[in-house]
Amino acid sequence: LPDDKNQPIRVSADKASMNETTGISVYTGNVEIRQGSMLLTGARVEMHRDKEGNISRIISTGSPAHFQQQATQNQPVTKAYGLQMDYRVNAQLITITEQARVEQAGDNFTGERIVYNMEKSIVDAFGSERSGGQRVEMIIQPKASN
Amino acid sequence: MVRGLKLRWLLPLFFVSLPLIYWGLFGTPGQTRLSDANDPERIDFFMVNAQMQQFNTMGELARELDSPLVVHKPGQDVLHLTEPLLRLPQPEGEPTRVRADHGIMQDDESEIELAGHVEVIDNSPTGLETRLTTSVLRLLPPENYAETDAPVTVTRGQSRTDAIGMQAWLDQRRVDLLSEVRGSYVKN
Repeated sequence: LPDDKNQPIRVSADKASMNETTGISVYTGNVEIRQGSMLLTGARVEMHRDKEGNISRIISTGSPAHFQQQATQNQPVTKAYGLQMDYRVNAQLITITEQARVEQAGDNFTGERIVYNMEKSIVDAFGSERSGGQRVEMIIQPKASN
Repeated sequence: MVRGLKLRWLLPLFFVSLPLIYWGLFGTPGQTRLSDANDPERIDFFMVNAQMQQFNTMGELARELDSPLVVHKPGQDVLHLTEPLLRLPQPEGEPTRVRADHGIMQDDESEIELAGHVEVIDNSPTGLETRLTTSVLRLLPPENYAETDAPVTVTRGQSRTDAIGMQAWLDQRRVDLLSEVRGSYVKN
C-alpha cells in the first residue's frame, strides 16, 4: 500500500547477528520481514542501516525467497519469487535474481532478472545477456472485455 | 559413709566430662577457629564507594569498576559487588558501560556474574546509543565478551529487538541473538 514505506519494519527469525560497526544485521532461520502490506521471507536476510540508522536495504536469499505486496487497496497482491531479492527501501525497488518470477493479477513474468517498482507497480523483466541464457517470458491473462 | 565417698567422686567426674562432651561434638576452640578460616562466607575485607581501575601491560586503561560496596570472601575467591558499574574502553567511540544490581567477580577479575536489571550501553561512533537489557549476564572483561541464556532486549532509537539468549563481542560491537528473534525497526 502507498503508506507501507512509512510503517515500522517488523522482523522475526530464529537467530540474528547484529554488527554495530558495519550497520548490518543478519537474520537466519524462517525469516519474515513485514512492512505494512509488504511481506518478504527467506532463509537468510541481511538488513543494512544507513548513517541515520534507518533500514536502507534488505537482501533476502532462500529457496526460493518470497515477496508480496498490495500496491493499492483495489489492486490484487503482487507476488514474487527468486533465489535472491534485493529491496532498496528508499527507491522502493526490489530486484529479483535467479529463477525470478512475478505474479501480478494473474499475469506471470519470468526472466534472469526482474525489477519490480513498488510505487508504480511496474514489472521490468530482463533476459540473460549470455547467448542461450534465460529469456524473458510473460503470460498475460486475457482481461474480460467490458 | 560410702554414699559420701561416691558423691565425692561423681561430682568432679560430672564436671570434667561436660567440656569433653562439648568438644567432642563441636570441636575444640582451636579447631572452631580453624573451621571459621575456611568458612566460604567469611569476609576478610570490604570497600565502601570503591573505584577500581585496571591497566593492561601497555599501561593503557583496560577497565574501570565503581561499586558502593565491595565485599571479599576469600573462601570463594570472589568479590561481591553491589550495584557495579563497569566502563570498558573500546577501540573506537566511548567506553561500553555495563551495570547491574549485583555482581560476583572472580579474584583474578577474569569473570563477573551480573544479575538484576543488567544493562550494556554502547555508544558506537556510527550513531545512536545501543542498549541491551537482560536479567543475568556472564561477563569476561579481559576478552571483552558477554553472554546470557536469559531473554534479552536490544533497543536503538525507537527500534527494538527481543530474543532468548545472546552472545556479545563488545570490542567488535557485535551481538548474536540465539533464538526467537522478534524485531521492530522504526524510522529515526
